[in-house]
Amino acid sequence: MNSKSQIATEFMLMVGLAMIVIFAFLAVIYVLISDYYEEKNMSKLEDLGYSIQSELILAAEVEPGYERTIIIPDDVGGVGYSLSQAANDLVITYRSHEFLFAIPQVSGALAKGSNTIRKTDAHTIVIS
Amino acid sequence: MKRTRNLRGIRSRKSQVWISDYTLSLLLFILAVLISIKILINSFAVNSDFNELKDDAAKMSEMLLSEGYPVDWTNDTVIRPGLLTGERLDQTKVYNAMNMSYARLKPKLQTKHDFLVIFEDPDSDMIEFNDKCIIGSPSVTINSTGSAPNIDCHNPLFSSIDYNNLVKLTRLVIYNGEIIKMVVYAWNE
Repeated sequence: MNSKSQIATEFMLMVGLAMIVIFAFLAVIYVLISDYYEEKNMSKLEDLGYSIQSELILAAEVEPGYERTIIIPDDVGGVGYSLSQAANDLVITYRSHEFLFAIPQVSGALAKGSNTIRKTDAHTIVIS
Repeated sequence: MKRTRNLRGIRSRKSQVWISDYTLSLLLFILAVLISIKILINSFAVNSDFNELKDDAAKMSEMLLSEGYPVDWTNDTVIRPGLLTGERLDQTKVYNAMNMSYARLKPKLQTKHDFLVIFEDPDSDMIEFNDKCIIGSPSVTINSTGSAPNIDCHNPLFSSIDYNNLVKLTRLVIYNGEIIKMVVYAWNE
């Protein structure tokens, strides 16, 4: 009986030890993965900002009469964000991070969904 | 009675050996799992990182070999820093880009990687623009003689930085009536 209880205690001790090690291991993995995904999310939003910036620069560089419709997604690969404009900057906000992208002077504001970029004359870009 | 005590002693020692074996094997198992995960992640990441770096270097060289926006950009008005005017390298734009801080220039070229841009004449000697000879990372040591304003730059020394992948991209451009090389280096850590 004494021997059986010793085996049971040892078993519980080993399972407990294994659980502690596995939980610590999982916690480390979780932290690493969440950091990795946070970086990936920010990288995706930076790419989105650069794409929109390139579209507007292209519109500014070409001749009047240019028109192009772009679709800005509601989220990028499941990552939510908000979009705004401040002076000549496009601002993408994700949690507490703000990404600023310099853009040419435009009239109208970019919004999620369909946006039509028109160059009406040499210095005017209209977004509707 | 004496025999029973001996048996207990043996059983206790056996159980202790078993616990240390078990703990050691558990730790070894976790170590093996960690190493396998790292190897797996690295084998996927290295390839995609390198391709991304290559694409980034190509994109940067494309941007630099344009007029930029606005066409007559200065360090205050720049949105995209291109170095050409009328298909030829514009000395003023190059000097402006060389004078721009690296932290400001990096997002303007839409890159996440570190980079360095130099210009070489047909004899592969670096070209100086006034007292400067590089666009980009100040971390790379430039082998040079003399000092500003009479500096003579020879070549970049990449031994001064740590990197995993390094891409070198050479493009040709017209400057002062001759064809020179614009060399873009991009790397990741």
